[in-house]
Amino acid sequence: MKIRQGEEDKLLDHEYDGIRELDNHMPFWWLWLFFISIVFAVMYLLYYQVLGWGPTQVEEYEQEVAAAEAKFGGENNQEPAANFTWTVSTDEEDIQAGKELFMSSGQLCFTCHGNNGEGMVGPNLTDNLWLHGCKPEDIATNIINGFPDKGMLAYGSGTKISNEKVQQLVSYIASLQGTEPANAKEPDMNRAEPCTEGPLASSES
Amino acid sequence: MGTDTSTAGQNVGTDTFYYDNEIVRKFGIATIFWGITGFLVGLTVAIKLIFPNFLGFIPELSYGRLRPLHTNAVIFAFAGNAIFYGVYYSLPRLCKASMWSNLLSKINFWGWQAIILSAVISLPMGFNTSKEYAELEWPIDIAITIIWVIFGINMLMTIWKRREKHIYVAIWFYIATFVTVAVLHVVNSIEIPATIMKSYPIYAGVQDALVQWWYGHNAVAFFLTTPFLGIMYYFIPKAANRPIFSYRLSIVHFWSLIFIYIWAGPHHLLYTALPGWAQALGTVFSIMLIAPSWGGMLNGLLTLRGAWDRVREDPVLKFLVVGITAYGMATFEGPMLSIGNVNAVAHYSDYIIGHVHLGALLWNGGLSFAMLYYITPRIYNTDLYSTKLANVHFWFATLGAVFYVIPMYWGGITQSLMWKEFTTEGVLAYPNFLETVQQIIPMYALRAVGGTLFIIGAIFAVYNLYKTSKSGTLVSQEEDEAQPIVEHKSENKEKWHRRLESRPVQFTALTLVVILIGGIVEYVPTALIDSNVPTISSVKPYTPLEVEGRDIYIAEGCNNCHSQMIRPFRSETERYGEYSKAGEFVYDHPFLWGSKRTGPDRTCTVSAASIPTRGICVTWLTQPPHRQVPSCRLTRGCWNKKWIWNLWMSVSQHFAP
Repeated sequence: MKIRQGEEDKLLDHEYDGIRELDNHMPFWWLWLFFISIVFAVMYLLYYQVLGWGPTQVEEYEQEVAAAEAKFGGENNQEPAANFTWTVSTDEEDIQAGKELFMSSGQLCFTCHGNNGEGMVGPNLTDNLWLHGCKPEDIATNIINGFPDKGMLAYGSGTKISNEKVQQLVSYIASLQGTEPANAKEPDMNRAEPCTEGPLASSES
Repeated sequence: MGTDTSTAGQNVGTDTFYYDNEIVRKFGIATIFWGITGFLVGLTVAIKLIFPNFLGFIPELSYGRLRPLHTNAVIFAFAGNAIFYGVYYSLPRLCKASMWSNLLSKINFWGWQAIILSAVISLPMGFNTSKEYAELEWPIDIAITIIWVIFGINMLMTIWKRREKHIYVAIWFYIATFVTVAVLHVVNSIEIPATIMKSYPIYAGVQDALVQWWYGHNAVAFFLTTPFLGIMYYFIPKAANRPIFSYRLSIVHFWSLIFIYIWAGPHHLLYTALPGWAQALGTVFSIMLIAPSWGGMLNGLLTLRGAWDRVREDPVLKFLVVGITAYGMATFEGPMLSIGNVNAVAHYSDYIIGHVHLGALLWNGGLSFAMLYYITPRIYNTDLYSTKLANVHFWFATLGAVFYVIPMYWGGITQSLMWKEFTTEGVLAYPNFLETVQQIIPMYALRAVGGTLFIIGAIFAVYNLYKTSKSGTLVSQEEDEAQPIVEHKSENKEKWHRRLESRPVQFTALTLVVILIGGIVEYVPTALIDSNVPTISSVKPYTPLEVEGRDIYIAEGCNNCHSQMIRPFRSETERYGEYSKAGEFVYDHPFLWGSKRTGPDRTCTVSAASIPTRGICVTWLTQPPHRQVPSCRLTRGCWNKKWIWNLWMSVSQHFAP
């Protein structure tokens, strides 16, 4: 083993398969790092556990929720759906935005109602027959509450969106009326009723 | 053998004995073979994160089954064989004795390979306990115990029969490895067999989580750290031809490391339903671990003082230096990740994947390759075939690791911040989990590039080592000679630790005591004091149908991508529902909290309105709406509706109010 100059006297007398060891001091800063980390540990335990001055994780959570409630006004700052004025927009931008929501992986409408609203697991949305009413407020309420027992979560996927966005979605669905897409699902004639009132009511029926 | 030709009372004659290089060679081949196998499985799962349907037509190669195979292969097959490789080479030389029993060496070798083979077969078949790095089922657990004890007996008996009075620091680390891994493995694997390849752990919920992460964390500590520190203490001074920097530092950092490490397991469970005091212990012991870990790094790097010029030329030293440096970085990062608000961001994300690969690729990988380049020419009595190629390998390995780790850090933080982001209206900015996955797919792609570079480097090593072996002949029994230990009254009384080093039995016993303390202090109150797991009256035992569903969830490895543990953050309760409480899991044998969210949490997707949504779940599982989730038609038995039904029932019904 090569020994650096000046370290010969630090060499310990033992040897293992040719390996020697020096009797250097532990680095000063390393020892202090160790001491400080121990002091930190003691203080941390005192602060959070022994004296209970620091918040527990549940207290932290409650503070976070309280702060959010103070800022955003409770769990839901959204106007209740019942008080919202539901209409059908024919504005091209609204319909396009509604289509994006329909096709989004956030709401997932298309997975059950088909890419063009023709219906798959879920009913056809393009014909004049409706199961749960055809007024804009009916459609909006159905989107917002879903039909969990039929497999449709609230907002389609359970992911909440604003009333304005639901409005856009309603407008898109309204725009699908009478488009007659391919592979349209057969209506369930026992339950379906033709639309007779509201903006979606067909003049033909 | 020993004849009395004493001169000056010191030379009492020498014994001639042999080092078994044949077994060393075997472990070397196994190291590189399983290494490359494990790396390739890793690359396969990495590619699946970019192209989810890659190899998707084979259920046995689905992500949930291959991920445990990858971790088990690199930890127990690659690093495991590397440990034996290092120990079987260095231990007899440090003890100046043959291995105690060449037969036990052989049983150790072939038994270990058989265990690995059984893992390679059983994990893709879906035999899986779900407990990370302990996924192998109970018959294999028993085999591991037997082989590990055989290794331990062979090692301890070799130490017992040594011709060197004191045991060197490398051996301290080997002893700690043997003792602790034995304790960890046995305690964590206590399970009730149900069939020949299925068992349920005796622990449930919070206790199971605590035991599992006491094990999981210390598998890192005592399987991937302490044996490699021992290896470092042998190969650094040998390769650099320099004395160890500080004997005192060795003593202090060895004992503090093994004592403190064992406490740190709960840092894998911060902000979960684990009691706060246990989490706090996990945090503070992780912080206190910085210095003991760095003690090893310092003693390694400072040993190279005056030898840095050689590091430029010698690939062995290069791999050692980069390995030790990566060890230093990873052991600083670990404690930082154990601080609550850092963990809140990093946990469940790819940051952790980056963190562990920094250690695995460069520290374990680097030291293993250093050993292969050091030992192979020596046991074949030749020179390395190509130093240049080894240097090229070094750069592939280092750059590969960099290209692996940095995208994982970047992607992990990006995704985690997206999970936590709220809009100005106070709703989640990215309510759709998938959007956050798609955001980091480029990072997954870069990671696969990094991994590929690392593997290419390893293939260079295979070629280089093969050519090296062909250029020489194996010295299968290497002769050496040494004097037996002579007890003579020393005029200077030895210091206590020096005395301890000459008493391996006491040393081993003391090690055992030191490593038991942390685990006992953390586990016993969690198991015995009721206030740690407040009961929830609505939580009922699982029905047989639900148990069946859980079994499927486990067999398919769903827990590799989905957590069932909602942390008390607004960003999580908004996304997943009410945060998880300890009492919810009292019937969970095993707990399925998960450690990584490649997909969203799966606790409360299910709560409240969940039961009636079976219909949609069936659709989702058979025809996932997005390409990141492998369709379950591709996994075992999915054509069977009952399969999905049970799976759904198990997750939904149990958590529904």
